[in-house]
Amino acid sequence: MKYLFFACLIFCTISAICHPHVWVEVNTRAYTSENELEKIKLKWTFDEMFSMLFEEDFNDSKDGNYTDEEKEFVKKTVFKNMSDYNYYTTIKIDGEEVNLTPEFEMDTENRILIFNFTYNINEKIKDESQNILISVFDEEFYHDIELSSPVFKVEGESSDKVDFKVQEGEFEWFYSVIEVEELVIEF
Amino acid sequence: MKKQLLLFIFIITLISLVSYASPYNIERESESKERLKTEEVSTTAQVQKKSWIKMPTFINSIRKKIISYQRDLNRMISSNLNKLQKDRSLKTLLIIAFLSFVYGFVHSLGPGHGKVIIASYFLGKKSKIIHGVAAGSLMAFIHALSGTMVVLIFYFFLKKSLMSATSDAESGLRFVTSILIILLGSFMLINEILRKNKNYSDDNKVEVKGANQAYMLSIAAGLVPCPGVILVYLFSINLGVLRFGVVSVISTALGMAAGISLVAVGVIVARNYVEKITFYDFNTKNASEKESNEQKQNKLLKLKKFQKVFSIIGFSFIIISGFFMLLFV
Repeated sequence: MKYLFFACLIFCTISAICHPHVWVEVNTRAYTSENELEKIKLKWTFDEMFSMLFEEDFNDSKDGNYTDEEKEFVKKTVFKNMSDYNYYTTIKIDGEEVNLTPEFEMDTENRILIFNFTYNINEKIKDESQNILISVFDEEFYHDIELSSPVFKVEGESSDKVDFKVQEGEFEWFYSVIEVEELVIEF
Repeated sequence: MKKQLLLFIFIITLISLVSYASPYNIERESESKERLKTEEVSTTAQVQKKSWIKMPTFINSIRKKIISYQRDLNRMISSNLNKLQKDRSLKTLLIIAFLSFVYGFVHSLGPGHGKVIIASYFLGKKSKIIHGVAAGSLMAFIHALSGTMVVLIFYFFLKKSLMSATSDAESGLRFVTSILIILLGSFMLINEILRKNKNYSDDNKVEVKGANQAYMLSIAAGLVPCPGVILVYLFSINLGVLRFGVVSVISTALGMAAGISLVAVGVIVARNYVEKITFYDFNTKNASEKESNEQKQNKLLKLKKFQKVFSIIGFSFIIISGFFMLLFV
C-alpha cells in the first residue's frame, strides 16, 4: 500500500509538470573584449506552431516578414509584459542574483520566431575564478524552455579564458524539488 | 477490514490533495506576456513552501523524457503538416493522425483536464466501466470542441487577435466551469446527504443507474478550450491544409479521451474492487446461501454506509476542486 501511495504521488508530480504548450530552445553566446566579459546573448527559438500563432497576431503580411514597426510593437507589448516574469531568466554572478534588463530584438528564421535577449554584464576577467549562472525557466510550465546545441559559444579576445558547463539546478516547487537546467559560464 | 478501508480512504485523500496542489496553477494562463492590452499583469502567486520531498533523479528523467516526447511529437506534427501542404499523401495524413493521438494521450495525463473532477465522481458513485469511458470521452471532445469554437468565433467571425482571445476565453470559461462544478457538486452532495435509505432487496448488489451526473460534470469540466487544438488549427489554416488540421484535432481528442477514460476507469475498478473485497467473500461463492438473514442484513447496512461515505467524500472533492479552480487559477 505504501508503494501504491508513492507511485501515485510520483505520478501526480510527473503529470503535473508535463503540460507545456509552447516549446523554446535557448542558445547562449558570450562576447568578450580584452580581459572583460562584456555581453551575454540568449537566443530563444520558438516552435513552428507558436511562431505561426504569433505571426497571426503581429505580422500583417502573414509571411514571417515583420516590418520595423511591427517589431517595435512587439517590443513595446510582449517584451514589456515579459518583465513581470523577469523574462523567465535568472542570472547569478558568483552566486549573487542580479536584476538585469536585457536589450531585446525579435527576428525570424524561415518563419520561426526568434527572441534575442542581450545582457550587458561587463565583468572583468580576473585571475580568481568567477562564474555566471543562467537558468531560463517557466515556473508555470506553459513554456518548456531548454538549452539546445550549440549550448554556448564565446567570441572576442580573451575567449579562451571563458568556459562553460551545464548542470542541474534545484527548483522548489510545491511539495517537491525539481531539477532545472542551468548554464554555468566560468571565467 | 476496517483498517484496509481507512488506509484506502487515506491514500485516495492524500492523492487527491496532492494532485490538487499542482494541476490548476499550471493551467494558469501565462500568455499574458503576449497580450496586446496593456493591462496590469497579476504577479504569479509563488508558493514558496519548504519542500519536504525531493523527487528522486529517475523521476526527473521520466519527466524530461515525457516533455521531450511531447516536444518531438509537436515538431513531427508540424513538419508532417508542412509535408502535407506540398504532397497530399494518405501516408502522411495517417502519420499525423497517429502522432496527434499519442500527443493527445500524453497531454491529457497532465493536469487541468478535469480528471480529478470525474475521478472524484467515480470515487463517490459506484459505476460501470463504460460510464468511465463515456464520461472521459465526452470531456475530451467538449475540450476540443471548445477550442474549435474559439477559432471559429474569434478567427473567422470576429477576426480578433487569437492569442489574447485564447487567454480571455480560457480565463472566462474557467470561471464558468468552476462555478458549474461547485453548483453540481453541491447539488450532488446535498442530494446524497438528504437521500433516505432505500430498501435493498436480498441481492446485495446495488443497481448501478446511469451516470448522467458524471456526464454533466464532464461537459462542465471540458468547457475550457484546449490551446494545443487552437495552435494546430491556426497552423493548418496558414498552410492551407485546414481539413487535415481537423483530422489532427479529432485524433488529438481521441487520444485525450483515451487518457482521461483510463484514469476514470482506474478509479472505477479500484473503488469496485475495494467494495467487493470488503463485502463479498471471494473464496466461498455460495456464501450468500450459507449466511443467515441477519448476517446479510448487517452486510447490507455496512455496504450502504460505505457507499454513503464514499459518495460524500467524492462529491466533497468535486466541490473542493471547483473552489480551487475558482480561487487559485
